[in-house]
Amino acid sequence: MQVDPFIRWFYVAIFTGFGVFMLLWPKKDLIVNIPAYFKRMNLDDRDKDRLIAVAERRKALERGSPAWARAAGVLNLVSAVAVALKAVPIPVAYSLMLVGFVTLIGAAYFRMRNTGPRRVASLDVRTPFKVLPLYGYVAATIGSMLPLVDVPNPSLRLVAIIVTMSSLAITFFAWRIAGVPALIAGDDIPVEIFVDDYLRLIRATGNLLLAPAAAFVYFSLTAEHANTVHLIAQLVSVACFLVVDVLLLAVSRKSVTPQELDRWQQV
Amino acid sequence: MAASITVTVDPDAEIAPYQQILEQICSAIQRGDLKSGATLPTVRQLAGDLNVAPNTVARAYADLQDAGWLVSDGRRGTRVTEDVPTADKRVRKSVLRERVSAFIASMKARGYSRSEILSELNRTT
Repeated sequence: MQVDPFIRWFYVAIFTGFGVFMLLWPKKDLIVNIPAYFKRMNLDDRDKDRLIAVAERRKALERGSPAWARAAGVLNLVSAVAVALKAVPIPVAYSLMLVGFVTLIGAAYFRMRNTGPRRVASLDVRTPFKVLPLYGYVAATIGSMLPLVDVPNPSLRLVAIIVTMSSLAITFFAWRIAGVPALIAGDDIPVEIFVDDYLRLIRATGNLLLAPAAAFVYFSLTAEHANTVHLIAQLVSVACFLVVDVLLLAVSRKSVTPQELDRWQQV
Repeated sequence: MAASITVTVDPDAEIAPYQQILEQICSAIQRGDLKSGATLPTVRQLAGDLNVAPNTVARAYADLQDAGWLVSDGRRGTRVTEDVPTADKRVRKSVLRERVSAFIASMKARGYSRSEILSELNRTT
């Protein structure tokens, strides 16, 4: 199969970039790092200090082994070399990259689930469908399964199955992250509840967005195999991605609500 | 609203974790923070959040149901009963102690002495 050299080197750069990033900053993997989400929030100094203090403690609690990120980084670099040497087709390297991502997300999820100390619980009822609406999970699941239309094609069968399984696993982890136990140690309970809810939301939506995006990229990489079914599946994958994207915009929040601030002041 | 009501478990306390959960939920109902008909989290959710065994939460819920504070509503979950019992002396005492302790701590923090607080309490009551 002939691939345009520009496209091949483009993907070599992508794989190399991911690989180097994960090797140099292994804690900055997909979801376990807590970046400066909270520093951007428009709050007065006292509330901001409380928020940052809680976020920093949370970051310290969640810090785990960077081994998984480094392993995924090595996998990406190996993929980059293999694609550069034309040893493997780009879709195969892409499917391996997805497997690496899924491993990272899975490791991060289990780390989140097992992190402590957990001593305080809100009596608010929480379900994955209260965090994100059902249609988001449905759209991500449909989008994830679309590469299966290429299973009848022997040259794409394995890659299509790996991409589908990886995307479904990402959707599954998004659902599990939405329902992961809260991490409230009791140092500053109302702020901890806010940070926990906020992280749960952005992590679940981020993963949910990744699932149909993975399928969409797969269709772009296998465009030379396009037939009617393939093209329809690609269009549906775009639609699923947009549905989840709209969901992301609908549920995204930029700062603390007045009601939450009121609860903060009650302490 | 149940949104800001929390339950805390101290693993080092002499009271068993299930008892701690039970008393705090009971107190929240008595204070009126948890209203009649309010839905409680599932056993699994509360156990996960508190890092205790599901049986611990299940036992607290079961005891609260036996005492008439909660009702199990099948698939709709566990709810605070519509007819909250009022004659549980132990819990009433616990709620009173909690409130009075908080009040006294707050007054002491503002510089009032023990005798001043007692004198004012006697005068008012």
